[in-house]
Amino acid sequence: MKLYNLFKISTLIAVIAFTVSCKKDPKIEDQIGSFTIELEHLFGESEFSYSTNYETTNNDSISFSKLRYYISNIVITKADGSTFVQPESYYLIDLGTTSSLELNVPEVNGGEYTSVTFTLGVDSTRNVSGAQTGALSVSNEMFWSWNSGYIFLKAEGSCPQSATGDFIFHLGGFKDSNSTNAIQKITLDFGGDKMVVKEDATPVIHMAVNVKELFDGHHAINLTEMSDIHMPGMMAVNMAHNFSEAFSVEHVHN
Amino acid sequence: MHYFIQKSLFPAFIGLIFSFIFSSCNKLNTAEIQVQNGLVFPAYFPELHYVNQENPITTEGVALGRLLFYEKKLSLDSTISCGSCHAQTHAFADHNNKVSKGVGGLLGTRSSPALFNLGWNTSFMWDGGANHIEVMPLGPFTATNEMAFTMHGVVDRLNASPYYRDAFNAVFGIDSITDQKVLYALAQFMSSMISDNSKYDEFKRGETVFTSDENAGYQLFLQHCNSCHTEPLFTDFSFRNNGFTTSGDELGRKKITLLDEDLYKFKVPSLRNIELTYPYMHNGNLRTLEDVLAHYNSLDDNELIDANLKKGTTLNAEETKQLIAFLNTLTDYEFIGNKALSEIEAPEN
Repeated sequence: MKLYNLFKISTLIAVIAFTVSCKKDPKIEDQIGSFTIELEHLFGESEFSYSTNYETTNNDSISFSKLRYYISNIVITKADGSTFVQPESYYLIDLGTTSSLELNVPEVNGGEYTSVTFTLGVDSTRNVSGAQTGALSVSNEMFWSWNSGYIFLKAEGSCPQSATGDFIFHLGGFKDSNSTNAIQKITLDFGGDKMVVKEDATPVIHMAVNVKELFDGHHAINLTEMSDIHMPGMMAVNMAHNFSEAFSVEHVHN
Repeated sequence: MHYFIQKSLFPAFIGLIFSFIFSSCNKLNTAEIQVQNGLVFPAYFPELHYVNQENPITTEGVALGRLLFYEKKLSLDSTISCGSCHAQTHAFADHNNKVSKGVGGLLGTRSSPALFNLGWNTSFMWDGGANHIEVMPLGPFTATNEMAFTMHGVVDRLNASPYYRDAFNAVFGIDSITDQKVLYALAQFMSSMISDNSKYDEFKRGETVFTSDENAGYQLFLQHCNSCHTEPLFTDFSFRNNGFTTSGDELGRKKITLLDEDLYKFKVPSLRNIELTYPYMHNGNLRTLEDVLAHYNSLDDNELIDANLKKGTTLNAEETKQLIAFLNTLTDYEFIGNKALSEIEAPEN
């Protein structure tokens, strides 16, 4: 008799537990999802592509053959200020490789996020930590061998107005001690939109990157006077500062 | 060669490491040694600078790094290895050349430094441009007047070799060789190049006595040299201007830091094995130790020169002889004869 009662009770508990768990999804904060940053590159109002002539504000005519840069340490923030910090967050954007223009961020804590923060370049720690893998592999040829450190951005192409007919900008530098720190930290608000990260959904942050800012942002670049940078220094810092203005969030898809 | 490590063999593998550790130093008793990261060195040495938990030093890793160090395939036209310009007979400096010849006979701009005790180095190259032992080889691999190759090329050639694929798999458990693991293996071999058994070291351990010249030279060394060439590694790893105002593009350390105060500064080289590593200075301009000491005697008080050298030295002929007698006690014949570091070729593959 006692045994029979015990059986009845435990069945009841099992049925209740089953019903509850089926009816109610776990809270969004308890879910694990993912999101994607989609980068759309522009030059001014035009779509960006290699071997296309563009004009800088300084009226220099330029055409690109290479544009590669690092985005790292992606953080997304909720309205209450709490954050999700992606571990091992390093992406090499290469305009010659379409797949690199989508930054997939997996295993993200669920929630409603209102802004994204990231680093343009590579944090100083990874510049002094020896041989790395993946996006930070030295085989990607984004590392200076003679002066250890990552090249944060490579922009190369032709420009009839420059002394050589070409431009080659290799930007980098991570040391604070001598004003050669070109690392740029960028935070972009979703402008009232919310990105909802949850199971079985991959929201997308659609980001525009206006490459024209590289030459025009804070420090106007005159390619007749200066068309190559191959080392850390003030010029690299200025151009990296320019490029930090290139990014804007167009919209967020949920 | 024990290349094939499996998890089931792990205890045996640990045993191998320890036999590796102790075999090279059976002269020392345990009170006089310290062991760090699989390496053994005298108790009077400082702690290692290079320790990477992801790349612990093993017998097998060192052996693989040694193959890579002597592998000519890692240069553009397969004619030059690291060992071509870093010869064991010269404590891994070049064969007494001022500067070294790279692929196609192109000359370098600075003297190939001697290689030993690299695990204590805080930076590499005469200007300190390489900030980590793992990324140091990128310079010689890619410089057009050295091996003139690319890291891609290095990795592709190694991956084309079944022998190297097996060797990397045995050491690192990887099917496909990566640039990181190539650099890891080289870092292991370079870390294993420890020079710690010169007459000076025997003297430190109380196993020998100095001659009267060596003793007098040691006192002169302590008085005039030790503040930069600091015992027991005989360098303080700093960058200093020792009176060479070079011409052309050569800026020394300033090339890296862009600081005016670093103009014509170069890394203080270790004095260990100095007898074997002539010619001297970043440009190989001084042929003998007598020339070097005469240079320090002749320094005038120019504004760029290191504070320690402002007045120069005033060594007479007798003192010069004594100091050189001491410097010659820093030659480590065990090191230059160490078969674990000697030239080796990977089997045909």
